Amino acid sequence: MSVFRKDNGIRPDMTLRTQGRMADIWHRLCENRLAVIGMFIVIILVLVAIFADVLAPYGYNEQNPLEELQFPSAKHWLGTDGYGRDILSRIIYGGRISLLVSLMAVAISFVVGGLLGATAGYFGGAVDTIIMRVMDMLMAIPSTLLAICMAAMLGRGTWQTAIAVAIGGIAPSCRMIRATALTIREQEYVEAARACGSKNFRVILEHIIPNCLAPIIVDATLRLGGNIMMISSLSFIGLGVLPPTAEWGSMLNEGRQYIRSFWPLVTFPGIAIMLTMFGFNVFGDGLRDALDPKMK
Amino acid sequence: MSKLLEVENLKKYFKTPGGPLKAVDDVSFSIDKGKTLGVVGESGCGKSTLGRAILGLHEATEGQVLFEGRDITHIKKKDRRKLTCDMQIIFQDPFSSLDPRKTVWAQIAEPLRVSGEHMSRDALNYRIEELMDTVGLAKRFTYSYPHELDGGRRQRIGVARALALNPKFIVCDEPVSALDVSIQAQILNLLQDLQEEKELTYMFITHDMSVVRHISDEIMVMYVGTVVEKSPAKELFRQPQHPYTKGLLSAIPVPDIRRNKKRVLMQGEITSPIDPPPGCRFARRCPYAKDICRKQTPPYEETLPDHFTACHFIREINSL
Repeated sequence: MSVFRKDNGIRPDMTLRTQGRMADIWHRLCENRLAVIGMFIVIILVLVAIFADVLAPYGYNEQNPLEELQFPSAKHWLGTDGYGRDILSRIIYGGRISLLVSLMAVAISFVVGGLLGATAGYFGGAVDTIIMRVMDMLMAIPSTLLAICMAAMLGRGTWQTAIAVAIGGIAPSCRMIRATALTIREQEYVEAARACGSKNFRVILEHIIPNCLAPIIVDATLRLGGNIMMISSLSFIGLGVLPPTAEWGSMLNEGRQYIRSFWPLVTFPGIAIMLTMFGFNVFGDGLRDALDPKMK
Repeated sequence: MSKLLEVENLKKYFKTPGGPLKAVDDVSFSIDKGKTLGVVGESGCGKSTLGRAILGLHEATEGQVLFEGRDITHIKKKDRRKLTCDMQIIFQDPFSSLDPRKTVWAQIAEPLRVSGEHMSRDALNYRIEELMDTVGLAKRFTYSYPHELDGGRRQRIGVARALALNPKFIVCDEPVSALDVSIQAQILNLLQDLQEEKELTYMFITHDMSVVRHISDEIMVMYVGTVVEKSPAKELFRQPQHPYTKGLLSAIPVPDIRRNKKRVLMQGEITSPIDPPPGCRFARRCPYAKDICRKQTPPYEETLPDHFTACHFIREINSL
């Protein structure tokens, strides 16, 4: 019997679609155990943020003066704070705020920084010099300081915090995308696009930015974690989102006054921040290695 | 016969730290409608730059490009975009000239979409299907990505992109040099069929002498930014006149072990296009070079009917 099949299964009406690239990336990601742990933390965090209303046993601002500063118990798994609010519920809702604001900040810094960086990299010359020198000026200011200044200027609130955090992220994302755009600009398909009449703006949007996507995803993941840290820092010093909105940083700040006598209020939000940072960082690192196996 | 494209004294210099790089230096020629001009020369002799300068992808430093009698060297961006409908390019490397993140559909749709004419989705689909059919791409590849296809199929996408806007003139920038020999023939035949069918005019840039012989009506030989010889294709292969062309032709391998062909071997280094010394660019390697060759640029003149050369001693060498 012949071991060769005559029919290779390809019919002329079939559309060829291989799953090569994505499957490869996924496979490499799964090989990295730490990255998988990070991915699980991130997924759990996202799910918790989305289903906070269902998961949280109490409202984030449900005050109960009779149950102030209670240690963990069956009723309040992680205890209660100075107003008798359930810490677990506040951590769950706090995660939603942190993630949302962080996402907003990442989006802002990548839209602004990405467009500027792609423009600078694509055009080069004077445009490049002007944009990049302005970015250098932004980079010269420590990002925490910049965020504090912006938050103080803009006032407290969700959007204000997102913008304050985003400003510090514009310059690094701009630089990164410029570097990638510089190499893509030299590719023949960019010239091919220009040869068939594409305008510069179209080339940037259609060819440069989509081909920068891999580093953007990696950087965005890492930055999401960093932004959560920054948001918490702002809230901790009394800037950032408005109370009584639950936020990990502001919870830490509230817990600071009881740090000697009542540990749950500082410990649990602290653990939440730590785990989140850890999750995003190892996931981001793993993603980078998976997307670019040559970089290791 | 009517001239579709005329190039007059075209120069393209690039600024480098070491002085101007004279990639294309004073090149003049014309192409008749429906004909193919083969441009040959070794790597870095300015053939690709010449093609790109004609299309306006590089701004010409000096000189004129006339398309259908109209000067298009320094036209406005808006007019340039209209012109891209008439003049197109097929790139050398089908692996880098296609955006890896776009499907075949999107690759071919791009020129149609940016041409300014609004097309409905159905019209676009229809046109893409038609183009894929023209270049011999099976319909099942419509939503494939370039990395899923082989070189020949990729180059067919490149041809379809170039054809999308019904151009009159196509610069083929080494369209087959990145392909296997068997696929080279396929693409060359495709290009020739298309030329017959659509009355296309080609400027065919290559360094492969057998390819250029196969496809060209006329051949122009370039050396370090200048034209050294131009003649009808058969004539050039029968009686090359310029010493460089002779060397180039003798380098073509002949599949016959008994044939003891005398090879003209070139000595010396290629003249650098950065701030080249005066006189003939080929003087440093030319076996016939004399003092005048290193001082005076040789005249580009018609030595035989339709046969142009640039050499001081062309008559002596060929005993004309």
